[in-house]
Amino acid sequence: MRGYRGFLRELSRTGGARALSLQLRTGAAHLLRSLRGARAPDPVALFFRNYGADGFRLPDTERAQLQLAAEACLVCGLCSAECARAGGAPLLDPRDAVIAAARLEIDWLRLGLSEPIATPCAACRACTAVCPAGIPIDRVQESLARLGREAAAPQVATPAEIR
Amino acid sequence: MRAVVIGGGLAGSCAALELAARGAEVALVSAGPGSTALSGGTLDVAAASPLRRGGLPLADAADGRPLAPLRRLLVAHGNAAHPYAALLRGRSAALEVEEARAALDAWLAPSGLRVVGSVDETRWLADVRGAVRAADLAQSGSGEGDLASAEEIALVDVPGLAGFDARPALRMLAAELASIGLSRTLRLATLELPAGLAEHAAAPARLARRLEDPAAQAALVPAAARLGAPRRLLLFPPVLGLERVDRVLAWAADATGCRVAELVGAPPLALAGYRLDRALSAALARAGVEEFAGRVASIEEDAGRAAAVRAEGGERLALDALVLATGRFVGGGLLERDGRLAEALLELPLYDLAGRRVDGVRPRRLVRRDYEGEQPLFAAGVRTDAQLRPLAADSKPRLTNAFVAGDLLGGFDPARDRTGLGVALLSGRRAGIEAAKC
Repeated sequence: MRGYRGFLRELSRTGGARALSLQLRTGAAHLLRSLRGARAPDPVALFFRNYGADGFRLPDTERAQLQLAAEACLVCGLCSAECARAGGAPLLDPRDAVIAAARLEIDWLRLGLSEPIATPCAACRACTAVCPAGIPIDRVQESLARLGREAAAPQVATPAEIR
Repeated sequence: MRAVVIGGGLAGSCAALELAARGAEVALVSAGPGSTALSGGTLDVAAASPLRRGGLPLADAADGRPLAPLRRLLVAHGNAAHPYAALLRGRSAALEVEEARAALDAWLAPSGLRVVGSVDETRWLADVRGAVRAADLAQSGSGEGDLASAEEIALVDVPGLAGFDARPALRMLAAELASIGLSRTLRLATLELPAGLAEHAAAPARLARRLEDPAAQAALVPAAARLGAPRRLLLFPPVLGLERVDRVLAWAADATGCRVAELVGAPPLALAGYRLDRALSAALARAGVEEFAGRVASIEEDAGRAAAVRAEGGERLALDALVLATGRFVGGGLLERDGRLAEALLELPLYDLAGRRVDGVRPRRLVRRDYEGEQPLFAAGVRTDAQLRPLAADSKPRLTNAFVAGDLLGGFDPARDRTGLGVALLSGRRAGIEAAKC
């Protein structure tokens, strides 16, 4: 899916021929690399042997779990209400944080923040206590803040960045 | 006499308050907000919508005349499986609803929430999307917004307010009013927030809280004064206060010089449900009901009776009577266990509207590709006897001292026929009254 999206993005940016050649290159490379590494016992080791050089890293499992949890969001806004009542002043409204985490498309400017958040909120956990979907919203806030801190040095290369 | 109520929504709270009023020692276990907290400001017993398929009828099928809510209630009552049938058998529906309204009104009044309306007359209320409903009971805030009672209706547009777009809402409102033949002057009134408030527009709850602050109100007076006009009903998005809607409403009426109300909320702008949830919690505390936060792990049984409730934290609450008001999917009363639909605490048998057993069925087999059509999954609930005691598969009461209230009751689909809060109110009180006899 990700490869397909990358393909479409390339197609729109650079024209079909270049995108196709890029897809073929990565596709062929993938085939060769998987054949070469087929006998490795540990899939994680195999992954790094094949793709570490391209800048790929294992996904952050906590973040992946939080994304999964955030996808249960009902967008009801109770976390915002409870946060406001508790007198919290988060840089990112808890509901916006959950929505951002569910999509994992974090564009700080679109969220109305000029720069990544360093300390998300007072971590009083009022939002988490009130969430009908049981989302650990305080951890989502912290995770987004961490993502913001890491934003200067991207950890995961997208297919479009492989040359 | 010790009673335990599981579930802190409208049904569970009403049951606990009735029990406490009868001298019982009541503990209420709540896992957190459920669908009551997601409600939009009405407490409909028998609402209908003009442009919606399914649900209770708006007009009489024979002569096409609009039905009063009471007539609609009797339509639901005539459906033998609907909880209203058992709740209203041998009683006057109008009296029963008025008693419940008055009781709830008294419980909520100290928090500044009133319960207005009756089943004798329809209140035409608009929601944040511009959809109109023929409502009956409603909370203060949205309850004052009867469209039929105003000559001119102005939607208040707050630029930048998240979750509310006044222009499409106004178009929708015009279409809905036309469909019911109600002709009113409609306009848009823009409320420009001054600096200090404008930056809160992206987080409506924060704006609502700021509007409770007298200093913020004073800063907003010049802008608010421009909204007013004679004989105008101003419909604000539901952000008039986070907890004290009465005070902000009074301020807004004063500042604008005309009638003000809130639009009925809908997620993601449903602060009215949050206010209701808070006001119920406050009423429980005043009544001396002990609230426990958390989930129930199990119910201990002894010779066909519930003996105690064990909380997930390990606490054991001994009891003489038990009220189950755990709701359906939002509340957690129904869940998917090992891929199958199940009742969470007692493995009670569940039935859809047609009376088919649906517990143990895969949930995905109980949904149809029809947005407004009948969905067996959302109609699933338990069966009870006339005293609201849940029935086992052999149609005998599963436990002789347990009572069910609210959405967990089967025989209706709250998402479609919109009687969820009405059933919660009537069945919650009844379950409390029955449990108090144990």
